Formats: sequence, structure tokens, C-alpha cells
Amino acid sequence: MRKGWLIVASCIFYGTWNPWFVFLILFTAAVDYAVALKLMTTESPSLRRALLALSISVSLSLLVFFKYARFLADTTIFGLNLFGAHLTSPTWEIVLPLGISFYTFETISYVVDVYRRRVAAATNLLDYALYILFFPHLISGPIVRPAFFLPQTQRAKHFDWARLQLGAQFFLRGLFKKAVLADHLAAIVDPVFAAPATYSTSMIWLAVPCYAVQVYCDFSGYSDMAVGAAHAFGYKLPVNFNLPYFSESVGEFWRRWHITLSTWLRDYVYIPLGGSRGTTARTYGNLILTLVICGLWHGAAWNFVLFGLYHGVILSLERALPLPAALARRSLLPLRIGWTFLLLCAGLVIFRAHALADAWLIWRKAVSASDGLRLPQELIVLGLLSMGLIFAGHLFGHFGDTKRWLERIPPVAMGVGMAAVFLLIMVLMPQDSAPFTYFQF
Amino acid sequence: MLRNLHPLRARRCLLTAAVVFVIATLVGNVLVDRCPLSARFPEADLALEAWRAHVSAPGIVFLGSSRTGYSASVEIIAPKVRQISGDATVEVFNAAIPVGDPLTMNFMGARLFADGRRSKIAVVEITPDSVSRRNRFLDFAVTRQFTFRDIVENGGDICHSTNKTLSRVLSSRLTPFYTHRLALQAWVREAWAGPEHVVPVGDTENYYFDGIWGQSSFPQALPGPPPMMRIEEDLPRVRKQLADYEIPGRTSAALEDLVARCHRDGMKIILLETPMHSALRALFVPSVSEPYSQFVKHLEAAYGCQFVDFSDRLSDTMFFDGVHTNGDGRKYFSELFADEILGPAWRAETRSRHE
Repeated sequence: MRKGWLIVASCIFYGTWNPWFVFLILFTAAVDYAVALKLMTTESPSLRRALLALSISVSLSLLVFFKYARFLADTTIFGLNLFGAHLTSPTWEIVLPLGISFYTFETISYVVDVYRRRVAAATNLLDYALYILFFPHLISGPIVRPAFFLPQTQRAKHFDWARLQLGAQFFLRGLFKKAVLADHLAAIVDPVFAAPATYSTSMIWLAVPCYAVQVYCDFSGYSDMAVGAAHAFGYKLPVNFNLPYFSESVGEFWRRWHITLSTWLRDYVYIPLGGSRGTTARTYGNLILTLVICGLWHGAAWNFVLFGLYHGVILSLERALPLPAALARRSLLPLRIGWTFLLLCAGLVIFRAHALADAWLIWRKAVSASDGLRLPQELIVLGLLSMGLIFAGHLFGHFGDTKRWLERIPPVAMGVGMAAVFLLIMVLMPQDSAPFTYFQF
Repeated sequence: MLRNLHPLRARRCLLTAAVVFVIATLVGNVLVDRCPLSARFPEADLALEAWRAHVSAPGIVFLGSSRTGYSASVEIIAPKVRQISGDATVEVFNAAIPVGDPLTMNFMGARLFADGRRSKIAVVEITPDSVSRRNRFLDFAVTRQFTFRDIVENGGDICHSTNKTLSRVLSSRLTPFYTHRLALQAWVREAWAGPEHVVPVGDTENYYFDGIWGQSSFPQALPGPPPMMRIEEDLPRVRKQLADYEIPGRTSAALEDLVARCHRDGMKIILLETPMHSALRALFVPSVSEPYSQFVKHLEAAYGCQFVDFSDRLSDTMFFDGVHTNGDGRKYFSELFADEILGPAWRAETRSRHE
């Protein structure tokens, strides 16, 4: 009964945006549910492969149609025009269903895991429907694996104060990151990325790291809220971020950033491609291809392809050229973290810029001192404070024992603190709240 | 981590958080009622500051909404009145407020005349939609100026108005720190960076309000959609407001209260029906116009007001939207109103004083 209510509530939650697309999720889920059940009872390898191919084709074709059709059409027309055709870009637009990239990956992982016999197919339709539709992770992740979530649907649920407190703590942390930090940072990032040519070099050096912090606060904020909301209903969702800006290399960054996506790509793309089992060249090829797919997952545009390529090349270089012992000393940790952050910021410029020419312009302006507009002092202070706060949070998370520290706080003090943080969030929220960045993926 | 949390400790923690939140909300309600006008209702604060800058009370004061604000240019009206009346000292003040429904006009009237300084003539805006009991601008009043007591007193009309009003009341009082966060932020910013009056943003979208509606030359078009599109967007809202039209309520009572105050203070009261686009005037069918006329007649009889109807005096090309005049409309109305009404009225006023 409780599962049924959660499913209905999730459908309503999703339907408030566009009720018709609820049917799209239900269709995808129904196909995969049926295929998985059939996979459980079929022994013939060829039939099993055919079923797997059918399921993946249905999921991916819907994803390609809704997310990439326009991009593919534009690219094809551009290519044909290079050979003398005089075609114009189509005028139609396709509405992108919220969260399609997330739930498509979840359905694929379910069918693949059943095919590999790593999980048993869900016999109870409600269990499977809840796995796909559970509203905290439906529209913006984390990307949940069936082995992680399905067993939870079979456990009896009881009201649990401890779980509620944990959920509230996660939720408040996420809300603070999103509603206070990310939304205020937009006031610094948006104008600079909208007209980079008009701003001075110092503003570029402020806006780009601010964007790194903004996108982290936005997405990890959502993930924290999703984890918190799920706890309130008695479910656990996987952790999606682990102090990503304290990474010593870009490879480490991908083990700490959007963990559920990077592990998904590792298990369902990189390893099936051959992973690091083949020749060195093949390994680098697999790495780059996986990262390009990762970039494309974020959006149907060339800047996302380049973003993936950039990361793929850096990962290959990191693998090909290990750090010399002299640079791997512990005392040089801040240097390595700083260097990695710089590389990440350079990559985020491609990710965020409106056009590749803008990205190039930002890079050029960053390395050649030039005059231009300055943002108001108030915004500069805000940007520096926000970055300082996130850096301090990373520092504390890295060196401090957060769990033990939280446990030591008396419950009354903790309650007062939680209420105070909630009130502070309400006061500090800006007038206009930007939609979650990852909603568009 | 979950294993480390003890249910009893967690319960105590969450209950404490809930209690603190409830107490903070109650405190927030008190703060909202007592915070300075500059934080909660900066538009009114700007207008009052401009009023206080006058050594003596201006002879003529306009009380109304942005309709009056846009239409009546003090820079055009004052010289005209001086010329017609021969009184070179007369001053005109436009105390109209964006989204200034009768409740807000009454609020302003009470504060303008609180120090005992009185104008001689008060021009009070009145239109059929603005005195409707279903007041679609109540949600602004709720967040800008209503105290808890006002909410209780206006409870009936709040429920009778729009769903949005009710939700604004609830959010204003249940989450005061969220609803009034911009005011609080402005307050803190002002305390930190020093007093700096910025044209208020947020609730009202009025590009030309600076406390006195000072710009003499308005542009011919507003940024954004063209006038007809704005009117078509607005028509359903006005239609809804005029459905089951009835006047008796707190809004019309506020207007009468303002008129009575002006009357008690010995002012001449001119009730001005402001210019309107024909598409909007067409909505004032007999079921609206008849009770409205009766109400106007009641005010005329009880308080000796002069009612002037300028609703159809401007051509449809003179509007930004259904009710706000553009540059041409502002100039035309200001000259017309000064020539026909205010100039003669001030001349008569001056004569009666001399006699």
C-alpha cells in the first residue's frame, strides 16, 4: 500500500511538469519489466541477447529521439551543406522529458544486470515501478542501480526518528547549497558568460571558479536533497559526490563527482568496450570514447562532446604520464589539488560557454591581462565568500571526522542549529531561483 | 551514519527544531509588523520622504495607483495650474503608489497627513474595478503593509478575493522570513552599505517610479510585449475581478475612509476616474457600472466630492497597456486635466480663501 502511494505521488510529482510524459516513463518501465521477466525464464543465449537488444534499443531510441534528434539533424545538414547542399536547419523543437537521461540509464542497468544474472528480475510490479519512479531520484538522479534499491523495497518500513533526522540534515545541506550558494553565484556567472568580451581578466578569473562552485552546489545540492527526502520515506540512495574539488587528479575527480554516473559508465560502457584489458592504444581509445559519451549524456551539443573529449584526453595523459615521485610528495598536495582544479575550470568553460568561440575567448582573456567591466563589489565579496565556504567544507570533510563531530553535538543544540540553518536559508534565498542545472540533462 | 543516531536523541533534536522554528515564526510575525517602512514597503517610504522634503504641504495632492502615477505629470500640471489660477506658489504632489489600491491609498493618506500638514485639494483615484470587493491587489497589500490585525480585519475580503491572496497571506505569516526575505536583505544591505535608495524591485513592475513619478517624458512603448498583448493578458484577470460584482467590502470602505479623512481636514476632493483603454471599459457592463455609479453618488453626497470621468477621454493609441498611459497619453491627460479641472478648481480655492 505504502509503495502504491509513493508511486502515485511520484507520478503526480512528475506530472505537474508534463502529465503526458508520465506515460513515456511507464511505457519504458513496462517494456523493461516484461523483458526482464522473460530473461529470467529463458535459457537460450540467442533469445536472451535478442531480448537484451530489444530492451536497450527501445530505451536508447527514445533517448536519442527526444534528446539528440535535433542535434543529429543539424549536424547532418551541416555536413551535407559542406558538400554543396543548400539545406536549412529544421524549425521544429522537441520537448526534452525531464530526467530522461537518468531513468533511461536506470532501466538499462536493470535489464543488463538481469541479463548478466547479477540481480533477479523484480516479480512484483510495484517494486520495479518504485525503483524507476521514486520521486527523489526521478528527475535528476542519483542514478540508482537495481541491486542497491530493489532489496530495500522488500524490507518492512517503520517510522524512524533517526532516519528522519538524517534525512533532514541531508535536505538542509542540499537546500543551502542550491538555494543560497548556487542561486546567488548565478548573479556572478551569468553576466560574465553571457558577454565575456566585455569583462576584465580579473572578472573572468572570478566567474570561472564561481561557476565550478555553482555547478557543484547546484547538482550536489539536489543530490543531497534527494538523499534526504528518500531517507524520510525509509529509503537510502547512493552518495553522488565526495569532496570532488579536493581531487589530486582528474581521474580522481571522476571517482568523486557524480559518482553514480561515472560508475555506471565504467560498468556499462568502459568495461564492455574492453576497459584496460586490451592494448595501451585501445585502453586510451576506450577511455576517450567513454568520456565523450559522458559529455554527450550532459547535452546534445558540440561543446559537450568537446568537454568529454577534453576529459578523455586528460585521463589518458594522466595514465600515460604518471606523476614523478618528486611531485607526488604529500607536502605538494595543495599544489596538485590546485592544478587539478585549474584543469577542471578550463574544462567547465567549454561546458558552460554559449558557443565554442566564447570558450576560446574566455581562455584567451584568462591568460592575457585585459581591461573591461567589473562586477559590483558586493558580488565579488559574495563570490569569494561562497568559494571560501565550499573550500572550508571540503577541508573539514577531508581532514575532520564529520560524523563523530555531529554525534557529539547535544540533540537540543543540534535541533536549534537545524532550525537556525533553515531560517537562514529562507532569509538568504535570492528573489529568482534558477532551475536545477541538471534538470536539462 | 544511521546506526550512530539514537531514535530518542533524534526525536529530541527534531522536536527542538520544530519548536524553535515555530517560535522564530512568531517572532518573525512581530518583526514583520514592526519593521521600518523602508524595508517592507519601500515605495511608500520613497513617496513619504519626497513629501516630507516640502517645507509646507503641496496645495494639490494625487492619491492613487500607478494609473494616476503614469497619467499625471506634476511637471506639466503644476505650471499649467499656476498659469490658469495666477497663483505662482501652488505646488502639486503625486503620491500615487504602484499597485495602489484603495487600501494602499488610505494607508498613504493616513501617513501623509499625520503631521498635521494638509493639502487644499486631494485628487483621489476611483475606478469600477478598484472598488470591487474582489480586490486582486490585496496580495500586495498583504505583504507590503498589512499587520496581523489588518489580516484578521480583512479576512472576509481576503477569502473573497483570489486564491493567490490567500496563499500570500499564509506564506507571509507562516514563513515570514522567506516571504519578506528581500526586504530583510535590503534592510541589512542598507545597514551595511549605508542608506542608498534604490528604485524598489520585486513586487511591482513600474519602470518610472522614483517616489514622485518625476519623469516628464515617458517613452512611447514599454520593453516587452506590445500594448494589445498586455491588454489581452490582463482582460481575464479584470473579468474575474468583476464577476459577481459587489462593492461593499473593506476596499470600498478604505476609499470612503480616505475621502472622509480628507473631508474632515477641509480638503476639496476630486474623485478621478482615470483614463482607460476601450477594451477594458467594455467590461464595465450595467451590472458593474450601476452599483459603481451609486457608490460614486453616495460619496459625492456624503462628502461633497467632485467626480470627474476621464476614462474615455484618451484615444487607444495613448496607452502602454489597458490602464497606463504612454508619453503622449501622459502629456495629453496632464494638460487636459489641468485645463479643465485643476486650474479652475485651484482658482476657485484661492478666491474663496481671499474672500
